[in-house]
Amino acid sequence: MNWELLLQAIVLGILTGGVYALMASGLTLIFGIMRVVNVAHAAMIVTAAYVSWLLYKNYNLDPIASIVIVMPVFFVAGALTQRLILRRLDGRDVTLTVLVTFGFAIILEGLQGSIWSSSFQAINTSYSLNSFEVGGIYVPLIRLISAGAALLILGALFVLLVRSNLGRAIRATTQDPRTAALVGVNVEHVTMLAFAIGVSLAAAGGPLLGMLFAFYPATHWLWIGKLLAIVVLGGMGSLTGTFVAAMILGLAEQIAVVFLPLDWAPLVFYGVLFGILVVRPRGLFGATARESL
Amino acid sequence: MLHSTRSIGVRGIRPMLALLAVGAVVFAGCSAAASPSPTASTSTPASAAPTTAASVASVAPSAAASASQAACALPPSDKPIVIGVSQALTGDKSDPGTAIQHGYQTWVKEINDAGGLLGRKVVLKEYDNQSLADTAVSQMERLATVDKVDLMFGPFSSALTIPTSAIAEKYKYAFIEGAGGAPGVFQRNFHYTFFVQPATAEHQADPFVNYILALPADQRPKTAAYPQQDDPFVKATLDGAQAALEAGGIKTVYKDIYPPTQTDFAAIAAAVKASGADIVLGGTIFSDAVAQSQAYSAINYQPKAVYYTSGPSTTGPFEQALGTKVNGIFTGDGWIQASKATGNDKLVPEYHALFPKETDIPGEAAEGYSVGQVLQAAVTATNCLDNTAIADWLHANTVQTVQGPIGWDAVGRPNGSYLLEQYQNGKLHVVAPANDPNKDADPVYPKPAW
Amino acid sequence: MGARRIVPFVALALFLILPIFVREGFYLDLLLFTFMYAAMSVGWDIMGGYAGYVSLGTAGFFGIGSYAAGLLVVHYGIPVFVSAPFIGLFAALIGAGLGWVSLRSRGTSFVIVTLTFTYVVQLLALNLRGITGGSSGLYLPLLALPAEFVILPFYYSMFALLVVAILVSLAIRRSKFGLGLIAIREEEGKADGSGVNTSLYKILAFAISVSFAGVAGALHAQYLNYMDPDLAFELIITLSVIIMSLVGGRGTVWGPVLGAFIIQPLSVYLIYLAPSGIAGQVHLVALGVVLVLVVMFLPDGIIPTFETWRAGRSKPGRASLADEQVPGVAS
Repeated sequence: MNWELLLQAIVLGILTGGVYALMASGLTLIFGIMRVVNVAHAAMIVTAAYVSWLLYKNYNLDPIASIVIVMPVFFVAGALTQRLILRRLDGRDVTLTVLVTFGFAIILEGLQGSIWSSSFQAINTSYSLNSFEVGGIYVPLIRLISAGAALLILGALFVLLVRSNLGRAIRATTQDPRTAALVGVNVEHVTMLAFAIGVSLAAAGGPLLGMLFAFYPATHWLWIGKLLAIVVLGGMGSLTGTFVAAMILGLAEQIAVVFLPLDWAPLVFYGVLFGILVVRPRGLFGATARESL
Repeated sequence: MLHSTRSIGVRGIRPMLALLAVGAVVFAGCSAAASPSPTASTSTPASAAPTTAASVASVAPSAAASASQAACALPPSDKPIVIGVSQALTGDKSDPGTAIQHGYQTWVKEINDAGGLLGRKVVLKEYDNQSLADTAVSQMERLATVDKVDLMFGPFSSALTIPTSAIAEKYKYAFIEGAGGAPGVFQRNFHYTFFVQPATAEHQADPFVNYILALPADQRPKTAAYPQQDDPFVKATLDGAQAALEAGGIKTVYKDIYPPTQTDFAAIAAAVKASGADIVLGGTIFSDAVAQSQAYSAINYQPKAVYYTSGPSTTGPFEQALGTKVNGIFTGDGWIQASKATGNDKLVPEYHALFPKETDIPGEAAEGYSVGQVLQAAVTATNCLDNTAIADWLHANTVQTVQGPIGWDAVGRPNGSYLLEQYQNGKLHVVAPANDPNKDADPVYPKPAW
Repeated sequence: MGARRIVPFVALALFLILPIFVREGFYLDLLLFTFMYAAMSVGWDIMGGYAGYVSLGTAGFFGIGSYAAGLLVVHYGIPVFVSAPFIGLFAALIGAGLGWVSLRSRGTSFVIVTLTFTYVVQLLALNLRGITGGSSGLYLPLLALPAEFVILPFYYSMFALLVVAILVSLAIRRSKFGLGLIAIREEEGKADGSGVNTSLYKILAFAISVSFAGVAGALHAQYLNYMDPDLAFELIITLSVIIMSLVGGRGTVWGPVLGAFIIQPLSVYLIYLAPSGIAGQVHLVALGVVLVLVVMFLPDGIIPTFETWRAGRSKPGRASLADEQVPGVAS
């Protein structure tokens, strides 16, 4: 039993879990407010990764700095999408909305492939290879910085949801839109803003993904599986749940790599996903007044 | 009262369906006659159709027909020769697919400038299969049964070559291809498939293996590690190398397969170092070759030799990423840009003229060009567009290409040899085989420290 | 009305004798793929149209069918034309298992499970390389038939698959089972309350619906003589089937068939009509856009919309409880 290797895995797991939590937070927020699985969520993250990669390639803009650009841009795009397309499907069969997000995922993947081909890309900054050593454990610098950025943004999200009026309106609508409307919440407007926030959270994850992992147009299918496992484990619609689940699965993945051959690591996510759905479909923290999972 | 909607649906749609089906067939027939593709006109079905030798009887014995190879005599014609290709121009395999296609196009331009093939202009009829096998098969059927092309070239990748070669075999087209070298391509014992690279994947690392096993016993390594990407070509190459090294007494102490998306090599490097392997054979494509090198260097693991299946020959980016760490790294290749092999003196300037934006010529382009050279040799020698005669000739002869001399066995496996290359003093040199005209240095062993 | 009853049989006869007059492999290839997609779309519609549960996992079952057939051929020498029906059954069993995981509750878990299922199976195909050949793929021996005839078994077996799918779909539509599925789509809570065993119905419907994809995968494996984890699980399979059903008409028997006969030839001919390379670049984007547009502006598809227009009704024309007839009563 190589304790050093295990400790290394734990450190990496915690750092990666933070980034996973950021990526999944938007997905669970969107589900909470619209009751829709945003199949295009990971595709949005990858799109933001491409944007960040372009900014780095052409203007030498550090990916962490590019978060400041992609978040507002995607926020606006998300708001427009919700307002012009998704809102039209309100009141109809919710499966139609899921199909539309599936269509968005395809469109994004197709555009990325047409413009940048299917080659693997990655954002390699000057400090991408740096790591520092703490008691025999190597901590890659980019993992630390990414986790830090993720936690910062999640912290801001938390403050928004708990302290602001918009946040309270979002939480109320998530819990029960009819009651929320009764107490004066403009449900349509809040839904649009919440969706836009969810999309911008996805965008924030893009530059981080680009720095830590390689990406190409079809990777989003691999990522949506991981993100779905996280939000289902945590409980769809629950941000606390998503955070906890992201940590659990991040750790589980890195520890699994110590014991399993490398190519079996994604199975950790799928196994947890299917297991939870059989045993406890509402996840760890999921419990909403509206119909359950 | 109200009619059931389902019964209206049943009766209402069947006529539409039948009309649509008939319409589709009629439309297809009309569009085939109209021949919409802008790239070429189709050849006449009669004289140029690929048939067996039985067609000889129908050809009039005119004085103009060349008397040398009586197996097939063509009446003189000034219609262009059409070569059909279904290529991966978009989709997953678009980068190497486009590179091979550029190689074909370079050869076509070359030969037309020199007066054509058999005195006739050559035209390439290319369809994009989007890297999808079903689409490739459909397009092959079209090329064979609707367009009735004279000759064919193959697509990029073994995955696309395997199904399409079956179509070529079915309609008896010589299927000359430069990128399908996985073992599965040759398992059906096809007569018409020819892989145009010096050797199949299992033999790509032969020069390296031979060099290692030829080292004096006190210098020879005892153990080897095989960290590799999950890819069929890589697997075939390393499996071949591993089998040969083990047979030569070199123990395997590490072997693991990582997914193509792997970017974190710290753990892998640590495991390889822990295994104590004397030499490392990395099954790499490109970015993982860089990443492995960086990871080994970071933990101060100094193997006596490092061989990467692919990556180091993309010299520009590889040198830029690793700087002086490149020295001593081995790789295998079928072609180098400075090669002295037959036709390379024409390929390089012609390619640069056609595609001025590219500074380095991709290896796949050379493979494509070689395919053209092979076809040219066979057609010129048989003085014929009879695909069976072409196939028979290729099985019996060796062709000089930009990848060196290549001949084939009964199922289309090439019998040449790859080059062994090594970085020395920051530059990539050809160090084996000994009798190759491109060799300009001897191998250095053991590898200098990172 | 009498003349119209004959038409389906005329079309049947037409397709049966077509290979006598049309010999070019290209057209036969086009038709057999159209039959294949039509059959899979009819199957998809049993779950996505009648019951209203959209599956994003068609490619997963197609791939399972491919690998099951391939392994039976390679290791036991069982030809796919013999094993195909059993592979359909095998796919149905797996579908039932998957249904049990995700269909005992409503809505979201089904989408999640079917979406990720394809990638789980693909991962297994990739990693169990001792059995499946991993990324190198699996090679099947060619059929021992003369070149002119080799395509015919595939043409006729795909056609047979389509006919069976249509008959099954018709049978479900006219049965109590079908009524139950439609009830689930329209108002699942009420259906549950009125004694319909919704979980069982959904699981059964899903099992039936994926069996066609499994058989299609099996036959396709022998047609191509080759598969690898990328080919067998191509996303475009799932995407095409959904678009075809939606375009033609969700919830109808013939809608998915019409959709397939429109979309598949269009997809194939796009390459020949557009300049080289452009079609490939935009293919995926175009399909995604078509999907979004159809969902937004033509969500019922062609047939129900056509029926609504014809009958001058304001309600959508697709199957609904309001105008369902009790099976057995003449229309």
